[in-house]
Amino acid sequence: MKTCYINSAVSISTQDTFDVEKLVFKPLDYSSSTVRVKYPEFKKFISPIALRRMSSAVKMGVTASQLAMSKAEIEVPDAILTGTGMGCIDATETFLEAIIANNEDFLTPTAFIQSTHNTVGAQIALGLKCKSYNNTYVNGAVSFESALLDAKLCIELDEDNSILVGGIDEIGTIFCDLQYKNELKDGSGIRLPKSEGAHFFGLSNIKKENSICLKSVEVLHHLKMDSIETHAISILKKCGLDEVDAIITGHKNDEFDVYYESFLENTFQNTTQIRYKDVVGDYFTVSGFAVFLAQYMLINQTIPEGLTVKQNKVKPFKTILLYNQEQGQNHSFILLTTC
Amino acid sequence: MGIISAIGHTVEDHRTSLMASKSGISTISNFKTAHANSIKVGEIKKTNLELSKQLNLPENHNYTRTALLGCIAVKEALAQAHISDVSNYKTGLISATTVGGMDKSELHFPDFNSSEKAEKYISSHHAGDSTNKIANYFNITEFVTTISTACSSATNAIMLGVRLIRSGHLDRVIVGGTDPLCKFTINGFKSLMILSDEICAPFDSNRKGLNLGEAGAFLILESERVRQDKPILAYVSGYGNANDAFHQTASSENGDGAFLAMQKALKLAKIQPEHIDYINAHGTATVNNDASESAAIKRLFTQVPKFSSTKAFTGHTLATAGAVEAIISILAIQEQAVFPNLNFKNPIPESGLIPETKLVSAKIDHVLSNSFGFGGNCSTLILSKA
Repeated sequence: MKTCYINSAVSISTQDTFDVEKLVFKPLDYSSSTVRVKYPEFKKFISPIALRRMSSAVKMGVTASQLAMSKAEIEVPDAILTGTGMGCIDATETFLEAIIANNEDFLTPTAFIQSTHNTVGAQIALGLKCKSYNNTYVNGAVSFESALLDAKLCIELDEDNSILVGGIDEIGTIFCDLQYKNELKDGSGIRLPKSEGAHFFGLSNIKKENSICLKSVEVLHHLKMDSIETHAISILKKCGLDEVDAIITGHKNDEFDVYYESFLENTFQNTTQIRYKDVVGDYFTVSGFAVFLAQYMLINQTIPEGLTVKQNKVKPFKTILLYNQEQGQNHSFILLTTC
Repeated sequence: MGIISAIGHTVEDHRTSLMASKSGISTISNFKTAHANSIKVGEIKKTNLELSKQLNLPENHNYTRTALLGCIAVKEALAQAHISDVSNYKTGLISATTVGGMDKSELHFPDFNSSEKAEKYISSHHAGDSTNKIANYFNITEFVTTISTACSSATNAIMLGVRLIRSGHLDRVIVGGTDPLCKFTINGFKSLMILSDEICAPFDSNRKGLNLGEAGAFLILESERVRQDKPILAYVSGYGNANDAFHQTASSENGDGAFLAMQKALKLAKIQPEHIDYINAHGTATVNNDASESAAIKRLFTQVPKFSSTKAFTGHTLATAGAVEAIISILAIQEQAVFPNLNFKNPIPESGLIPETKLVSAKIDHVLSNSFGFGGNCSTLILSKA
């Protein structure tokens, strides 16, 4: 079975993360329900004519994917696999509003066409004239992980050699705001603002200078709170590891954070623990940011400033485990190592 | 297998309708739309309330029609595979949808902020919600995900399912899709001017466009270890996914994506084009799809095998089409018969291709099934006799 390497990692987020040498995070504005990303200079990557026709998800996706490919030295990938939780929500909202406002009359197809969930993956393929495998995953908080797992399987089963994997979510103007208010009302106490972002990675069966290894991706619909730790240990064992140097968790200040607490209270209590959603906000594919962060830590051997960190021992980062869940379901583990 | 569509509420209903050449296309009646009289659709004549009762759901549930149709189909599939407990083997679920929670969102959108009845459908909007609900309904705890690549989605769900079994990640996986009719898609396709006001006529020179349909359709894939002595309905012997990379919604003239997808599937199945006994075409009856698909078929097959599109039976069930047609392909293998391409009169002049227009008996070992979608997504499945 071939090894799956991650050869590049690119992030567009609410922080300065796009194509920067050094990551430093600033506190996030918690006063509003939604926070938008810091847009990179799209025109460096996309022609002005094309830019005018693109939604923000497509702009972010095309831009992040181009940098991820160039960093991983991929000209045309053997597969383009994307994940998105809310899909192209901006165009969806536009078309839905038009249907209601015009009573199903006088509609133009543009917003409908752009509302399709696979628009980002399709536009990347179209731009590259890439006729290879193309797929889009849309299962809430495991959308990105599903794409990542599929990519890993394709490389290991020797179906494809170089794969572009990405997670994209744009915020739109209506649904994410409604979600935020709804969750607040629920009493589940979610205080993180909803946000957006795009994270792209170049994967390959060939090791490059700045490669890290993607050892494991596990997606589980349900997991009992008291079996998360056991499950994590079994993943490490399967990969021939006894311990892990850091754990990145998806804490987001809601009542479901108990899943993380339960996971971390025994075996891993002395392991370095890092949170990230408090600096980039909350959206379904935000876990792509965690992979980006882990890659940065494994390459640079440092934790960026501005993150919530519980660090007990200072030691080199060779292995990092990511764990995330959404409202007690859609659990995912990702294990990354130096190589 | 489990399926609910316009031609029936069970697999056996589908067998009966297909053998009797009985179309399920009708006028829309489950909800109000301004286009009711100007389009024909493949509608399931059951209300959400009837479906909810069939599933014994509590009254205050927030299942969308997407989740309801999915649950009905999975329920039948589990029963047919004699699975009473999904936890005895590592069982996953991969569903496909384009509509997600839109059928409820479009209804409650104006009063999401003010009505409690509407509020519960905010969290069910995203595409993964229907899949999560199906998983919860059947206590599926392992790998669960959703695919949305427009009209090729369910075929891609089947492909991923095979990959997860081949790699040993899962022992068993429930794969398929669910998409209900809704105003969002009706108006979308209407604005593209590709909806027909008659029962669609795939591959006919005067085809006027497609009939939208709705369906829930799932198949259960099992590894050899799990199957034990249960009968095998068919093998997924090949699959291929390629991108046309031509246009966001239109297919290329020479059908590059379709050609590559079919070619990949044959390669993986380790068979030659002449081994395909029947092609269940995508055949949506739009001017563009049928011309492009015909071109691709003619490029790959020196001698074009028996083929038909069954869209005039079920309508185009979007994300579910690939699973609906995988089931129809398996029924074709079981019956050793090619189901007719209804309403065909004259071939497209450029291709000259003539589909089967009557039910015909034939030796069928390998069926090739195509599903193509927006974004240039082209997917092909090869199903083979056990």
